[in-house]
Amino acid sequence: MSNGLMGFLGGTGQDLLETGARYYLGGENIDQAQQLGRESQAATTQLAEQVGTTAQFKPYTVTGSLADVSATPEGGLTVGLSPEQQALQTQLMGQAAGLFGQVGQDPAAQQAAIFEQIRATQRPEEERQRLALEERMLSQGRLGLSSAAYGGSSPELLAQETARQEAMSRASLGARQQALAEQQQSLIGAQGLLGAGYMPQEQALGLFGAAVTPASLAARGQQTGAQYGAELGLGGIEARLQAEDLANQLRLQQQSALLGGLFGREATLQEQVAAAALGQPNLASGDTGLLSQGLNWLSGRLGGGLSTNQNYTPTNTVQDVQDVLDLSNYNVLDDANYS
Amino acid sequence: MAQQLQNITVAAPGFFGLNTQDSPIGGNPSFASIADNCVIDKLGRIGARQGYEEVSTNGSSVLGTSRGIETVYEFIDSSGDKYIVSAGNNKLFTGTTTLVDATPTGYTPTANNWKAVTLNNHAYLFQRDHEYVLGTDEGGSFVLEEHSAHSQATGTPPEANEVLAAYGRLWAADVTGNKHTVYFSDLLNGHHWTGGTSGSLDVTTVWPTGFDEITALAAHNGFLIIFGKKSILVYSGATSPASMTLTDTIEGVGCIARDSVQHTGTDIIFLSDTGVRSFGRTIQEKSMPVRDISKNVRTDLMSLVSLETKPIKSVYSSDNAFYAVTLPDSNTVYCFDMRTPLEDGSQRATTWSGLNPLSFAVLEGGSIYIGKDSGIVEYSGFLDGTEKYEMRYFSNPLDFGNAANLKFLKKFNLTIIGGQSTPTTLNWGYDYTQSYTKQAFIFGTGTLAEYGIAEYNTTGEYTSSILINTPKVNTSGSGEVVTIGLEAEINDAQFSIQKIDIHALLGRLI
Repeated sequence: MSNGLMGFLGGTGQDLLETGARYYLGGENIDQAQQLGRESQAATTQLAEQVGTTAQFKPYTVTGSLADVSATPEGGLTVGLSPEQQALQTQLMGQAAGLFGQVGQDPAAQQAAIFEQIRATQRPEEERQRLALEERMLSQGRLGLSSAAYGGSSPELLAQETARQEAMSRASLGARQQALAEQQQSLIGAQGLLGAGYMPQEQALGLFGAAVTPASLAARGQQTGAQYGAELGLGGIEARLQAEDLANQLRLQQQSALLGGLFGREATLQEQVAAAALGQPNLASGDTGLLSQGLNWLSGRLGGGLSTNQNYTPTNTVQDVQDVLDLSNYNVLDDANYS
Repeated sequence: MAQQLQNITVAAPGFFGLNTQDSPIGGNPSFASIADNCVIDKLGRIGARQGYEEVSTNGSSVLGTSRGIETVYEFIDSSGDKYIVSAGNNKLFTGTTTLVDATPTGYTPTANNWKAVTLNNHAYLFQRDHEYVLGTDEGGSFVLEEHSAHSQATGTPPEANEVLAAYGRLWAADVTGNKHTVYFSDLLNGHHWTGGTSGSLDVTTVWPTGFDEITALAAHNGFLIIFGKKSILVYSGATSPASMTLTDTIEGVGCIARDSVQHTGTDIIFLSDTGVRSFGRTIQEKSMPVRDISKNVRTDLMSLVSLETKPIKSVYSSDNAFYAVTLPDSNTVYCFDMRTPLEDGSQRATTWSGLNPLSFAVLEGGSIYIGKDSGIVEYSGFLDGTEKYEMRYFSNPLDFGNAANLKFLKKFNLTIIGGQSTPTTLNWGYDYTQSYTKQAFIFGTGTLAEYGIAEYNTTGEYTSSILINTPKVNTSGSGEVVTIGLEAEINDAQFSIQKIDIHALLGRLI
C-alpha cells in the first residue's frame, strides 16, 4: 500500500500536480495578459482624452477699436462691432435697403413720379402760354371757337394742346428713361452701400484674420504639446507593455523555475549538448526538484525508494501548492513599477 | 289896302318823307306828317305805293284760319329752275298759283316763321325748335325733306332760328337755350353738321356788354356779322371759320328782329331797338350810331315795334329802291327810300297800311312776293287785289317862313302825276287842327293810251302814257300855320304829287 501510494506520489501524482500547477500558472498569466491589455486600453483612452483635452481648440477674442471678434468653441465666430460701426452699418444697410426698395419698385410708379416732377417744371410756362393764348384768343373773339377740323377746338388750342401732349410724351419718355437709369443707379448705389455696410464686418473679420497667425502659433504649440504628450504617453504605454511583457516572461521563467525547482526538470537541449561536451552527465539529466526529492525522501522513509531519475510529482492538489507558495497576492503589474 | 298875293310853292311835297320827330314849326316843308301808302317815286315825288295782285288761287283752302303765308322764298337750283317755297298753316308749300302742300311726310311744323337760304343747290329752311328742312331737286323733282330724312345728311344740326348761307357754308344761331353760339356746317355741305370743317363759335365772352343774345347773322364785305340784341360782333376771315377773328364790336346797337336784316349790296339794314339802322354807317362810326335810317320816325316806329308779338319781316327791293319792314300787329309797314340818304343820314320814310303783309320775298327778277292771309300776292299794280286803297299825304304845319303873320290861303294849284279816275280830297287846316277843310275832286278822267293793245290806230287813244293833272282849288280861312293834305283813292293808276303851289296872303302880325 505504501509502496503504491509512494509510487503514485512519486509518479502520476507528481505529474498531475505539476500539470495543475502549470495550468494554473498559465491561466494566471492569461488573465494577467488580458488585464494588461485592458489596462493598456484604458491607459490609451486616458491618454487620448488627455491629448484631446490638450489639443482642444481654445477660443480666443480679437479686440480692436472697430470690433471685437470672438471665436466660439464650436469653431464659429462672434463679431461684435463697436456701437459706432454698428450704427454705421445699420445706416448703410438701411440706405441700401432703401435703394434696393427703389430698385424693386415698379418702373411705372417711379416713372409717374418723375413725370410729375418734369411736368411740374413745365406747367408754369405752359400755364403762362395758355393764359397768353387765352387772352389773345379772347381779344380775337376766338375763345369759343370749335372746329371739327381741329378736333373740336381751334387751331391755336389744338396746336397748344398738341405741344402740351408732345411735351407730356417727351416727359413720359424721359421719365421712363430716367426711372430706369435711376433704378440702375439705385442698384449700383445699393450694391455700394451694401458693400460699405458689410465693410465694418469685413474689417472686423480682417482684424480677426490678422490674429490668425499668432493664434495658429499658439495652436501649433498646443498641438505640438499634445502630440508630444501623446507620443510620450504612447511611449510610456509601450514601455510598460514591454516591461509587463518582460515581467511576464520573467514571471514565466520564475514560475517555470519554481515548478522546476519543485518538480524538477529535464535538461534542455543546450544543457544536454553542453553536458555531453563537458562530460558531465548530471548536467544532462536535469534537476529532480525539491518536491520530487522530498517525495523521494518521503517515499524512502516510507519504504520505497524513488529513483533519483524519477521526477517528483506532488501528491497534493494544486491548491495545496498555491497554499504552499502563497501566490494569490502576487500581481504582475506590481512588479512593473509602473505609475 | 289890298296886299299883294304871295305865292308859296311846295315843290315835291313830302320829298323828304315823314318827319314826326322834329318840331314842325320852321321845319323843312318837304317833310310830311302823314305819308301813308306812299313811296318816294323814282323822280323823288311822294307817290302812291303799288298794290298787289293775287298770285296763289287756293290760299283760302290750304291756309284755313291761319294767319296766312308767313314765309315766302324763291329757290333757284344750279340749272336755273325756280321754286317758290312758302309756309303757312303749319305747312310747307311749293308752287305759286296753286299752293301744294310739300310738308315732309311725318314732319309736323308747329310754326311758320322759317328762315330760308340757298347753299350749293339746296334750299335750307330753319326756324326755332324745328329740325331744318332741306329742299332739293337733285332727285329730279323738287322735294322738301327734313335733315334726318336726307340720305347724305350727317351730324345733329342746331334747331336754330337764324341761318345764313355765306362763305360756302351755313351759319346757324339762336337756339332755344343757347343764344350765344354760332354753328357752322361743313364747307359746301349745309347738311353736314359734323366732321369736315364744321364747328361752332361761342361768343359768350365776346359780347362787349358782357351779355347778349344772338338774333341774326349777316355776311358783308368779307365779314361775318353777328347781331346781338344790343351789340354787334364783326368777324373777319369767315371764309376759314377756324381762323376767323374778331374785327370789331359795336356796342349799344343790335338787331331785334331776325327778318329785319336786309342786304342792299353795299350796306346792311336792320331793325334795332332804337330804329332801323344802317350797318355800313354803323361800322364806319363804330359805336357812335348817330345816323339811323328811321331817325325821322323813330318814336312812332319804335312805339309800334314795342307792341309787336308776331314776327317782323322786311324786304329790300333794289328795283323799287326801298326797304320795307312790316309790323303785323299794327298792320303797318314802314317803307324807307334807299336811293339817297338825307343830310342827316336818315332815309326818307313813308308808311303803308292796308297791305298787311306777313312775309316778303324778292324774286330773282326783281318782283316782290308778299305772303298774306289770302296766300301769295305780288307787289304790283295799283290795286290791293281788286280794291282801291287810300293814299294820304299831309304836310307838317307850314308857316311859310313868317311865323308871326296870319296866312290867308287863296288858292292851291296842284300838279298830280298819274291818277285815273282817282277820287281825291284836298285837305287844309290852320293852326294844328285835325279838322280839315276838304275839297274833293277826281283826277284823271281821260283815257290812257294802251300801247300794244288792240285800240292802237283804231279808235285812237293818243294820250301820253301818264296823265298829268293840274287842278286848281280855291281855299278859304286863315291861321298862323297851315297844314295841307291830300287823300286819294288809288284806283289802278300811278299817283304822284309833283307840286303844290299855294297862293296865300300874308296878314297882320299876331
